[in-house]
Amino acid sequence: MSVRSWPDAASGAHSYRSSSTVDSFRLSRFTKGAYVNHPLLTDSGIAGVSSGRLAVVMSTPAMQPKTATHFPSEDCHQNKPCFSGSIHFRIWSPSCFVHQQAELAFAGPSIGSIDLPHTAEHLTRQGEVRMDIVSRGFSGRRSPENAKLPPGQYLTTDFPVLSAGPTPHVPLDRWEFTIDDGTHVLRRWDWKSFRDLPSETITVDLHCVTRWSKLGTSWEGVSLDTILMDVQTNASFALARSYGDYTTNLPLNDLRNKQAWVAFRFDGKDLAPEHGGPARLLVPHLYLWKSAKWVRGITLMPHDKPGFWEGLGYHNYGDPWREQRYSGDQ
Amino acid sequence: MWRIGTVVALHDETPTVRTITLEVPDWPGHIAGQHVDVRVTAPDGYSAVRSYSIASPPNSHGRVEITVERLLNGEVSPYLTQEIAAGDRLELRGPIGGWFVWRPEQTEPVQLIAGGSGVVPLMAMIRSRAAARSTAPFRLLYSVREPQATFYRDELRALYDKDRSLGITYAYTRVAPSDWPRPPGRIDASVIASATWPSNLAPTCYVCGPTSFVESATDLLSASGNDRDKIRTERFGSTGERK
Repeated sequence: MSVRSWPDAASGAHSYRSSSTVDSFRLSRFTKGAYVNHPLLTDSGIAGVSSGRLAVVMSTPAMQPKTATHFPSEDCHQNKPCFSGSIHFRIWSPSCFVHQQAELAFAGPSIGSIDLPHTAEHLTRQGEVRMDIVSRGFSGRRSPENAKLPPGQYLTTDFPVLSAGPTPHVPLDRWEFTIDDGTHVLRRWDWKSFRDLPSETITVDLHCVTRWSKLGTSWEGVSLDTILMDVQTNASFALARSYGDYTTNLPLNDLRNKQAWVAFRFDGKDLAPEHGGPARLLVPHLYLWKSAKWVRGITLMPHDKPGFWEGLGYHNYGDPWREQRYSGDQ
Repeated sequence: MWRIGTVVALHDETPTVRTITLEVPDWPGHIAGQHVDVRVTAPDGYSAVRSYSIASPPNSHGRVEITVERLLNGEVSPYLTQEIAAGDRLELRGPIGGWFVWRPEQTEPVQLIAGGSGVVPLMAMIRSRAAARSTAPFRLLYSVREPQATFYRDELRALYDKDRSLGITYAYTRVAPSDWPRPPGRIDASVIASATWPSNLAPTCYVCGPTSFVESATDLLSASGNDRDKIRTERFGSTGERK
């Protein structure tokens, strides 16, 4: 039996109470399709809702990990608390397979105070863990910072580089950025006209599918809301195109509503070529491969079409909070 | 899907680098150049995952080898290079990656360029070529700090002795053997000119190593006339653990 407070509601985060012997829930963010993050769980999720109480069922490898996982979407609005009250978890301890129950309570207003730049908030999910595969000599490095990261990520303070081929070096006098619909160019900017667009300074967290996360990175760029402002389209999907022929696909809605930028400065300096300069897409709510380096344009598409990594085994959407790394991940 | 691999052999490549051979009964097979996610779990349930290049060639008996370099302040690599023992089990997910790969059906000349532990996926390609009795012309340019830091030295030597169509050139960056023709230093245009295929043979180039190494090697390849579309790269973050 343990009772634990996880960070205090009064300080602007969640309060937490557990009546379970399993005592280390990590509840950080939540939304529709929410998950609960606990190392002992194979799967978890919201089983149902009634009169302000949500039942959450989770199971361990010994149990069949079958649960309903979706938060009712009508209760969950962007950047708004979607729940207040208590959540009940049923937990099967992996060591003895005894049915246990934990109660987890958090105050609604405190949820709302989480400052997330984009989309809704999430519970994090660790994914399944096989407790019978334990490495006795391994203790790992747990840090409070890691608790704030999407599942399976670790914190880095440097800025690793990853790309599939040589770094293109694009002279500014030949740089251009276009919006097209697959047939016609709808908008075109050269470097000067692009830089004449109003830009924004943003601070965002980056999550790379290769498991590093970097928090609080500072960028300057032009919002896709600005770029797409006068573009009339019925398209639902977008394919970002880069110098060097890299592509990545994403729903057009993920480029809108202050979620995406064409960034040209990082940390106060012009963006270096190895990090995607002169300009890269920045879509921080998705894994970083969606933030196409050396971006040269966006093709609007009525139907989805996989980009480079999406066609090579990586997830089509790539939400780090749902750990959508590889194709086949839910 | 996570699979369970049992450690069946351990081999120290250098004092800080260890090759771990795993037996994975339900392994679906892999292609040379792919990588695998490895999950280690502490007794209290805490787990950490890292990606490692697969060093073994494609095979039908579920053997997966990874070669792990111990990193100062690493979280997972000290465990894998010091603590793990035969019989221990690890969880694996993969294989992953479909871009930085070499398939035995490829017949064109291949240029491999490795920086340090970046040799691991390239070794899988060399082993795959040997296992498939491929005659694709292969050259490896292997940049390494000093002779003692070389991975797979004896095996590379044996492969070369059996098959002289596999070219191997070492480039030492800090310490070279006393009789070495070139003083220690980074790969430059003259090394590229002497140790890699002429660009008119249109080799497919695979470059793997730390970011700065890959940046410089790809620029040199490109400057010597190689088509950028023929250059595939895999960069290690500054963390050193693959990608």
